[in-house]
Amino acid sequence: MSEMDDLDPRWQDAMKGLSARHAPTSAQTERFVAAVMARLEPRPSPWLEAARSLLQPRWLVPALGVGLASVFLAIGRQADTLDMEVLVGAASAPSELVLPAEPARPLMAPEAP
Amino acid sequence: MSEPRSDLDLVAGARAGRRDDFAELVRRHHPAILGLCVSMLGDREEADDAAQEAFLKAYRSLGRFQGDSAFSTWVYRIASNHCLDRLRKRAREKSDSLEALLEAGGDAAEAALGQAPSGAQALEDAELVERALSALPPDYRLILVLRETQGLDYRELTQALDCSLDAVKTRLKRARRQLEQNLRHLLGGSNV
Repeated sequence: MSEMDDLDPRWQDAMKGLSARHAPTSAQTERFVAAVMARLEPRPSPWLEAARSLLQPRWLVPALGVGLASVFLAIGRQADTLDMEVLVGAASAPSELVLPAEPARPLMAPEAP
Repeated sequence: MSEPRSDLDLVAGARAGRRDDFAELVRRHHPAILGLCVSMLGDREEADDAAQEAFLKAYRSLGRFQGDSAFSTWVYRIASNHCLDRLRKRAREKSDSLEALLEAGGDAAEAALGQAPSGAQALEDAELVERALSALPPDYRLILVLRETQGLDYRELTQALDCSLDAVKTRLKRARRQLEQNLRHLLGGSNV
């Protein structure tokens, strides 16, 4: 990067001065450390951490997407090769007709008391 | 006298459950992380809270620290994201308020720069820079603070900001340009 892109030295110095301006004293740092340590919870189990780190890589979600898509494509291809006649035959096969035991009796008649 | 332990060694100790090792890491990096948070958030108390949250997040995520970057860069990244989240939340809350409606014509930059007193040149440079920084968009503020105040090099910036070297250079250039514009404005148009 060329020097043309650098800040004016006056402002560079002022920016560097900011860190000194906000620098904590050692007593403030000790108080801060104590406050952080008081808020610490037990660390999650190594198993959970391992599972979480497995989900971390950026390629995982797209890879899962591609994997799922290929599964659906494979199922789709398989469905094309199904014997349509079998399907049609199965759908139009006459179902078993169940007749009432007493045809004269109305189907929905209430039971006699 | 024994050599001070490396950050990586302390991280390994903290991972193994040695809390004192983590306390030492916090002790070492507190000034830098607090400096970043104050420069980003402006308010010392909020910055202190944000810095604590950043270290707590770091502790919870120690298992994910691969050691590809320095521990300091990794914590910078966590703290940067945390500060940006807080600024976004602050902006959302502000945009929900009546104040935002009244300010709809202007913007935060105008508000911050408008506070400059007439004798702005009498202000100390650090104060001027702080005011000019606070008027920058958060991502410009962040990269300038990391580079100019915290002294990160370009490689560390790519790691802390999770972006390419070209993106770092471009953003830095624009941020510097806008900071100088803000400073010119604060100085009433005199040469910067």
